[in-house]
Amino acid sequence: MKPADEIKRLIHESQILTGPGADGRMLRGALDELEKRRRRATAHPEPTLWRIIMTSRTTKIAAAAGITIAALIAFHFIGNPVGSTLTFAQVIQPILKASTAEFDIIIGPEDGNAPVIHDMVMGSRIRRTVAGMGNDVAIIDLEVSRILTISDEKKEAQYTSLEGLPSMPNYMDGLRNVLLMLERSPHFTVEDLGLQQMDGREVVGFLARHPRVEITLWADAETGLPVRIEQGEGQMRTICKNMRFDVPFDESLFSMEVPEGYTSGGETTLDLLGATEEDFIEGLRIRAEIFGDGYFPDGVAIEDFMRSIGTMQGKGEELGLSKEEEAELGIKMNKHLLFIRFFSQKAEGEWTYRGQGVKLGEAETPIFWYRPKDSETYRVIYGDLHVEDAAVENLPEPLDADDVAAPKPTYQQWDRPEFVGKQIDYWMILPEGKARVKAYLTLLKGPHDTALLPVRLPYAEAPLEGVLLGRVADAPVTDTVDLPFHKTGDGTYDIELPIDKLTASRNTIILQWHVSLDDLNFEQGYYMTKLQSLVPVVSYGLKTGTDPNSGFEPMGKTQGLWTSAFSQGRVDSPKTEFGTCGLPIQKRR
Amino acid sequence: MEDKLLVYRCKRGSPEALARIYRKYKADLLLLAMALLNDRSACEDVVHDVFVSFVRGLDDFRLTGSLKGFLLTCTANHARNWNKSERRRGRMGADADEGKPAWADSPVEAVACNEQVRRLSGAMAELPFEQREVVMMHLQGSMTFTAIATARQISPNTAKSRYRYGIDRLRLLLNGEVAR
Repeated sequence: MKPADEIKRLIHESQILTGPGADGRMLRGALDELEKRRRRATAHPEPTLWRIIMTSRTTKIAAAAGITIAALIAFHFIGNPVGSTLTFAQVIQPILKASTAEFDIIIGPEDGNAPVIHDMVMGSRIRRTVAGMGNDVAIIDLEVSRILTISDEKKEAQYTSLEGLPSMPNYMDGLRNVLLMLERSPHFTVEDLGLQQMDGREVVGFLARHPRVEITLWADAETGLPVRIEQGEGQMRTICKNMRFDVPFDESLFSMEVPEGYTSGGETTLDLLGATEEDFIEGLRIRAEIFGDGYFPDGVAIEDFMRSIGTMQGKGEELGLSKEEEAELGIKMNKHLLFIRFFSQKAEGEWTYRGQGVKLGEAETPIFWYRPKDSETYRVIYGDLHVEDAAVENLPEPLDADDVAAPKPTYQQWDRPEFVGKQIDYWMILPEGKARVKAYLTLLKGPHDTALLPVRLPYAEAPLEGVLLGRVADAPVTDTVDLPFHKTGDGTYDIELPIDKLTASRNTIILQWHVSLDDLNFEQGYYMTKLQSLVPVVSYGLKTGTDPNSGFEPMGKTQGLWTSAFSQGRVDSPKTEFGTCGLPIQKRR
Repeated sequence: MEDKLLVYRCKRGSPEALARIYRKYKADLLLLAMALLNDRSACEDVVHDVFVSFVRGLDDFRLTGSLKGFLLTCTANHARNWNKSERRRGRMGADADEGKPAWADSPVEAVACNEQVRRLSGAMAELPFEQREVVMMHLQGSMTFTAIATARQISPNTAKSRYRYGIDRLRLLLNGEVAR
């Protein structure tokens, strides 16, 4: 034992306790000083909103989320001619045909406080500047999901890679894809708003509605060129105006190279869909603790954040955080924002926020509630940031009628020739190297008066063994009936559907076949399987389980019997191919 | 990060944050003060003064290291000043707690020390103040000799030798006791 160890132990074992009286005496003077200090303090004028972003590393990181989020605001137009001299289809033509474009975007209401984002678009690239940011610029390449931010003032450049960015191979093509997708949707309507005066000129308006997006488009009545688009997606509102098309831009304006003489700050990654409820809550805590002096923000919408950046002035510097801590804080704020920006990917309906004026720690006050996707109950976040599950009837406030949970999807007939559904495959690994596959296919749409459902199995050599029709999308399936089927080719079958029964909510079909693990490619320790649905689907998943006598055991986190191997949430266009994945199983040790 | 946030909130005038810092570190500061001064009333005064000066200096304060280390150094400084002034008044002595107010031993009001504190501070009182400081800053505050030397404006070798002498003397004074 070192000579000092005994002394060290004595110090460690020493205990000094204080009563409230002693605490009061020792702290009183400091508290008095603090109060004097507070009285002396005068309010600092708020600086220009975007200047703050560019002068603070912390807020710059947070604002990067704002820029990124703004980058993802797509225009969703609906083509459907309506009775007017100009039609909706006509006024969207310049947008569809333009090779370049230039416009201003405002997030939230146009009241003069919101920052104006100016975009120049060429192909998949956007050159973005924001009012008040001087010459600082972000070049966004949607094709490679990457952003280059350039600070002219500091002669610095920084790359941000975006993970989880929805497919936008080309900005203009993205618009066209959206149009095609929406045209195919049976839920689409366009309302003619007629002629109106706007900024001294006559414009014609159209209101296009879809369950996921609402767009008001105003076009010059004389030229037919769009002049203003107001878009609502979820709870985010954007305005696009001052639009110009086919502007002859210099390509160098869209270069993703770090300009000569600028230092590169390296590359960070932003997972756009990776934000969880925990991330959102952590952001609430930070916004209350750091930026709200203990109180939650007035709002949590993207526009609220954009507006509140002004109050963040100097706080990053005041905290005296290290570069690493600043980065950590910035990442947390990004995730917090992304939860709201991509809320519709993870949740149903709308969120409700009631945190304005609530102090962090108020355990009895609900501040935010929402319903996660595929959940029948709501998550309610309280002022001390604990979370409880609540049934709709127990929510802090009644929901709007149109926000009540929709019933489970039922089967609908449409005018198109194909079936569309959603599917989860359950792979149970059995002894002797076999896997029993049960595919739960929930049919959502199908052609009128068709009694045959054509399906293609992923492995032609694994014959279809049985087909059941049941009532619930996930196991256990009840009220089942056997369905007859006929082989029509290698791995293809026609299943006879009882159309009258499908029209009720009994729309889940279970198909079973067996696959030999030897028929799967074995790569880097994984049995690789095709991810292929039986019909075009809007979501697809694959789960694995292991029989105790199979000689295999699950890898990673299991949920009961099953381990998720693959999960693809809602896709815009139904499809059957989802690539390949390794089965999360390993030889039992 | 928590300490930086607490300091930040103090700068914004949050009494809750100041109280949190106090609760978090008061035991460490009191123990250091007790080891250096062997006087409970004096400990209270020193910790009181440490927090007052901490708040007064918030405008220019920027936390670069650990908040605990900073507050311990402040405590050592204030204890040193107290020690000097009391020495001038001739008040220092083994019975430094004599004459304390009647409320001092009330469980609600007092700063209560366990036997180990009494043993430690009793032995420390036999050391020159400079040695007490270095021993406690190194062993309790986990400060390096270089850091102590910088804080005390002495050479690292002086800090080391003060520490060595202090430890040797403490071992003699506490011979057998610390091993119990």
